[in-house]
Amino acid sequence: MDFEFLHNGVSYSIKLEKTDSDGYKAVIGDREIPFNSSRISLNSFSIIFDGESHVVYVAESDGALFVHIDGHVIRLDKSNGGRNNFSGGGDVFGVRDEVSTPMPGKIVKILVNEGDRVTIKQALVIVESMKMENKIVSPTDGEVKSIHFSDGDLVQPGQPIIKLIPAQ
Amino acid sequence: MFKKILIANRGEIAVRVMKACRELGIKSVAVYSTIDRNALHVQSADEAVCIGGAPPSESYLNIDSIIATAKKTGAEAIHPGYGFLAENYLFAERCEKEGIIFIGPNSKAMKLVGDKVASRAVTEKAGIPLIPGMKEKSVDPKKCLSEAEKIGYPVLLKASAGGGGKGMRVARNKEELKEAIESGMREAKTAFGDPSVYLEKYMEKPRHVEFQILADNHGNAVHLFERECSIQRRHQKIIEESPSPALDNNLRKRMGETALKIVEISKYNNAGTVEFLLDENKNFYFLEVNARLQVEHPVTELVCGIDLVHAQIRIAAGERLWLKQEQLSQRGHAIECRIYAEDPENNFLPSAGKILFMKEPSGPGIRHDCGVYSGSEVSVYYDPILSKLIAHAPTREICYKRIAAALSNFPILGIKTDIEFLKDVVNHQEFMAGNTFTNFIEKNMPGWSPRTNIDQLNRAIAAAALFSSTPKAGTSFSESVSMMPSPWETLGAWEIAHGNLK
Repeated sequence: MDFEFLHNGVSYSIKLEKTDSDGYKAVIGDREIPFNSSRISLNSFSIIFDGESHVVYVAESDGALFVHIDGHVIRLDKSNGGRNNFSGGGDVFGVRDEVSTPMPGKIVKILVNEGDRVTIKQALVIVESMKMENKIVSPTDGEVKSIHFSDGDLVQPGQPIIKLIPAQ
Repeated sequence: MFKKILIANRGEIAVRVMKACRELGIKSVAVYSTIDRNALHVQSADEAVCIGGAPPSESYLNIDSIIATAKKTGAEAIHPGYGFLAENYLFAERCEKEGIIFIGPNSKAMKLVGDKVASRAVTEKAGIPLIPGMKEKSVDPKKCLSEAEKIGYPVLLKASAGGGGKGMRVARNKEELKEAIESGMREAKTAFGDPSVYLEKYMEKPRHVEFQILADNHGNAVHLFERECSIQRRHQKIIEESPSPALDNNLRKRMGETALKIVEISKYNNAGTVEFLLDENKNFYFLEVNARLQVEHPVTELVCGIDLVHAQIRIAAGERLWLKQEQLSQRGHAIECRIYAEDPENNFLPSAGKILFMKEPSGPGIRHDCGVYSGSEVSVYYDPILSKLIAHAPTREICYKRIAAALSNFPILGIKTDIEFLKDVVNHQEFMAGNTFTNFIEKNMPGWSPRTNIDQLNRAIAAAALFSSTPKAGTSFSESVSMMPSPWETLGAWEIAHGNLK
């Protein structure tokens, strides 16, 4: 079976073949990775890669896969024909004209007004989340195009709080 | 002894107190907010009562509702945990008035030590060394600015009613201080309902060393040695250990005696912590008293072999202290790592969401005080602490190796956590060498990101493909359970039996 995953904005294609009862071969790019896997539970696999024994944990939610291997958690997003599933805004995912919060919270204070000139990394909004104040900064130099929330409003991740017109 | 205790808290600490109650044969009452119906503390208690909405002000800070619940359920005592109402002397006072035992210090001592400025005045008079700072709290930015000139920059702005790093800001000049006062006062008001702040001289490279104390209601007190809590981010501890690599027996004895003196002059009772800063020349300065059970209490429990929650309950019930200072000693070494739902790659911003899967670490010398489970929702409303991982070992070296191994085998999937970051801290040469100062993270871990290599990434992709290729079993546990028809669904028409079932 063929799959495509996004990790840190890079797309990886994988072809997975079953070679015997618990033997597999993965082809990722030009690398061939043979391994032996046995499913231990819904979320865990005992995998032997080239003689090295690993327990790998996997869970999925809305097309995002979380894989725990060697003490690392690696997030992989299922890719659909080149379109990715990211829903965030702001500077993280390349949409540089919106400011949003990475977690739900309450808007404590909007620090700018519509039409203001802003510079990259300038604090635009203070959001309180889990009783801590967090500054959300501008992903770009530019101008404030519109403000979509007011002080005291609750905001969800990915909702644009402020839209910007990036400087040329 | 009490028959029933209400636990006015949530998360891992509520669960931990409930376990102690069960061990002592005491019934426990959980209180919960509307969004915490499925929280672990609700499942861990003998009784559970919903006390209000999700915002803490409507539930875990709702004194009237908590007192009414204690009366309704017949709880004779209330354990406040840490945070929320734990250090609110008005709550302790209210309990005293209503004839409910507050498991913590008396309200007068709590009021004194909780007012950082008033406690400074009292301790200064007793000759206890203090960091230079403002003599009174203020809500006036101008006053703070002029005081800062006297103290000299850099200064540390603190919430007078504060704790847990909330409202705390470092300012290196006038401009920074102006901004710090504005946001610090606002955060203090939200977190504690009191915007007052004060300033003290900011020390660049101190260690944070604190002493655990236990005092009964009859004037007897002991200390249970130190915890070093220098590894902090956002002025909040994330790794604590005991003994401190910086103390020798002589210094330990002097600091312990100072801690007991503070207990005596403030007429403090029950469990508490006396915090000190230790400078590079091994001078120590009194910082504040934390009038509660600390998050990091397990390291002391493991090293001293004493259950602090048991002790709190027995003291609150009026027992005389059964411990003598000369009987107490430190056995081996303990390290605690706080597991937070937060993103260490992104300024430790809190991360809310659903824990899709987790597996608790275990093994010799490993303790895990946990408030969540696979399927838990981590809400935006409360402190993002999920659990605490604690290791105990005969030596510091085995201890940090033990906790590092446990951290590598501790999957929490679905939300961001600080687990990988913590593992890299305890594996850091400077940590292993015991060079733990409060600036450790900014100095040794700047721009941290996880160090995954291409092999690990390829193997993770292979596992993800494997997981995705078996869709039925590949869904999360709750979904796959609901996909399986229950026997009742395949049984045909049926009804619940009515009437006498005998």
